[in-house]
Amino acid sequence: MDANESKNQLREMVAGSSLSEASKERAYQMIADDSRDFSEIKREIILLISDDIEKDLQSLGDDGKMEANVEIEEAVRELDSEMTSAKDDLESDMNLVNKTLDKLAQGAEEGQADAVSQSLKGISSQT
Amino acid sequence: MKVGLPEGYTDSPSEKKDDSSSDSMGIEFVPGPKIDEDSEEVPKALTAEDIAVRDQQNDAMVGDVGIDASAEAIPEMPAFRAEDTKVEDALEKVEYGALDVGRERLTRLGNFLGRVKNGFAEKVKWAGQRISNAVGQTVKYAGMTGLAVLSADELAKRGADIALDYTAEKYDSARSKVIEVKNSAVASYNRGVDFVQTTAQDTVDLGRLSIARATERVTNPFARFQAKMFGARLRRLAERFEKGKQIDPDQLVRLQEKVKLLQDVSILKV
Repeated sequence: MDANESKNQLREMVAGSSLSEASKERAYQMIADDSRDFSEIKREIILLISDDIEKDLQSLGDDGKMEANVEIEEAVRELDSEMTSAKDDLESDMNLVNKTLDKLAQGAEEGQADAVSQSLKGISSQT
Repeated sequence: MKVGLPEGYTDSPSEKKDDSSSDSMGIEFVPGPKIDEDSEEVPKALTAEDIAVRDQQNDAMVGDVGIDASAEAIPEMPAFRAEDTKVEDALEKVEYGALDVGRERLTRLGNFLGRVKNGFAEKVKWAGQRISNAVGQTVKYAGMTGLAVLSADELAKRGADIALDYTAEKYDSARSKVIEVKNSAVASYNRGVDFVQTTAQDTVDLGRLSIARATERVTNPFARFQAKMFGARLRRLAERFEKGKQIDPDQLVRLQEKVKLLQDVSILKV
């Protein structure tokens, strides 16, 4: 599935949901924003849905204060574990990018030096 | 019950590691001519004498080659700060204000990703200037014709672009290519200027895709966490309803649908 298909699916899910009209409109705007990648849009939509749910819960007298339970504890653990893992992998990738760009830049400069050197040899052999 | 530091929580690197790039505790985007001192296969290095001769030749033949000196002052890539992964404070709030827990983590991750993006963009800009400049001169002195030289701006723009095209397959493919280049025994310039340019673009693509991947990976567990948290609160409301609290049952059903929507969105993938 490409990003456009995923966006369409997301739009359909929002359209068929019981979100408030204001939230739906906001969601459509987010989905239509081509300057953001799909993950970013999805994250924004998740926060939007969360806000909508939060308003409903508060209007029903739920203040959000609650004791944790095993299920939530597990979700927190999963979130923290994935955050740490994602962070480590991104750092690893960025080190790889960093070193490779250095290597390419140095290689390009050595190629330049060779080209200049060869050019000079050519000139000197003609004179 | 209070949620404590998750059992087995560790700040150690994750399992998926590339041996070629995990030899540093932090990210060090430090510009300079050094390549990879850890590698046994260092490309042909110029001696100080070679460099002096080269510089003289360059000065004599082409004058100022136009490298932007300010590009040497690229700030170091920031590492993930301790507060970005700190969990104790946020976990305390599970007991007192459930809704803040996931959001706090997402904010921290957003800050981290912002710093990574900035460092990456600066690095690409700096490397792009060096590569474009050197390739341009090589093409000129080697008398190559018909070869397009990738401009530094073009590469910088690529680095600043968001990976709208991210897929797991594209990420894996880009990473394999870059690892191959980094571990290559043959100096990149021996493989031609076209190779250098193409690989530079591939390397930049890996950076973009890696950032998108990190965002994707954290978004899903965040959504699952939110769905579970709201699900638990919804059940509590339902219990109150059963005990006689005046609640519109339709409103409860709508809430249930919204929590289901949250779960469905969390498993959507590109």
